Amino acid sequence: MGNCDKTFSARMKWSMALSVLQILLGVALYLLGLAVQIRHGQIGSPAFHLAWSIFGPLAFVLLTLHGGTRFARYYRLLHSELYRKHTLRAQKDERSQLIDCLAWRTMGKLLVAALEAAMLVSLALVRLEVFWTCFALFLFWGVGIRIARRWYDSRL
Amino acid sequence: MEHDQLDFEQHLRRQKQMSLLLMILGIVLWLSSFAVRLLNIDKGEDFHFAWNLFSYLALWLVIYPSEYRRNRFRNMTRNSFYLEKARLEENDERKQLIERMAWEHTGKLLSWVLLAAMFVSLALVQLAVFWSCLAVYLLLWGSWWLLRRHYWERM
Repeated sequence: MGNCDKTFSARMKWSMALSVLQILLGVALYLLGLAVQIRHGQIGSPAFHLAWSIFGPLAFVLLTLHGGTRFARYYRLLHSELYRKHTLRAQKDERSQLIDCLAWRTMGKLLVAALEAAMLVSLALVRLEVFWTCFALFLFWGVGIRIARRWYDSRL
Repeated sequence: MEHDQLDFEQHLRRQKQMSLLLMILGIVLWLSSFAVRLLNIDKGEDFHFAWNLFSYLALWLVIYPSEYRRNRFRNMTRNSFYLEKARLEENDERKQLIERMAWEHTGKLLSWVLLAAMFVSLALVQLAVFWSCLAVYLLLWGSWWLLRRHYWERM
């Protein structure tokens, strides 16, 4: 039991460290976006600045805020017995598991269909950069699922 | 129990129809590459290479899997052995868990890859790649969030 506690504690600390890195990365990307905005007119086109003005806040929200939430969660898991019990119970909830499974699977299938459609449209409009991007994402998704399935099949 | 049986059979029939539709779509896509070649469109070598690749993709990833699925569902509706096997597979908890972990973790990994791709494409001023990745990113999390709400209300 002591060993188990130690492993759990080490895992939580490792996850907390990763969350801090995530927060810092978000801040760095946000600041980079601001720097590009400040140098507006000296580098890039208006479309380039628009892209950066979306990416900076997006990175901040997704990395910093999400990282912060994760950090708080791991911290509570490590320090609050009640919260840990509650989380474990939620993880064992079959309905919640099924909803998660269905949501990820349906989303994945939808994404594959959308990527195929995007490939077709990009080819029809001769936008080859878009085609190759979608193709790479399509391959990543298809191969990733197969590898992940095999990996979990051998582990679980 | 009879109601369950009817639901399951209806589900199988719908899946069979869906597979047929997908197969037709795959054939149309596959044939479209021949049309492009026949029309002799002058858009460069890369364009024709991309079309060829896309047509093979349609052949291997749309036509063959949907034919396989259609056969599987047909067997299930005709043969009770296959039907029972499918039922057992659907209720297999280990298999469900593997599926959930595989889809969930690949989805999360893809989300990170997309963020990295967005950053790299901005650094290399490849705006078309950036917008494509952003669209896929929004589709990924938007549809996941909507589907989750949908299932939460339904189940």
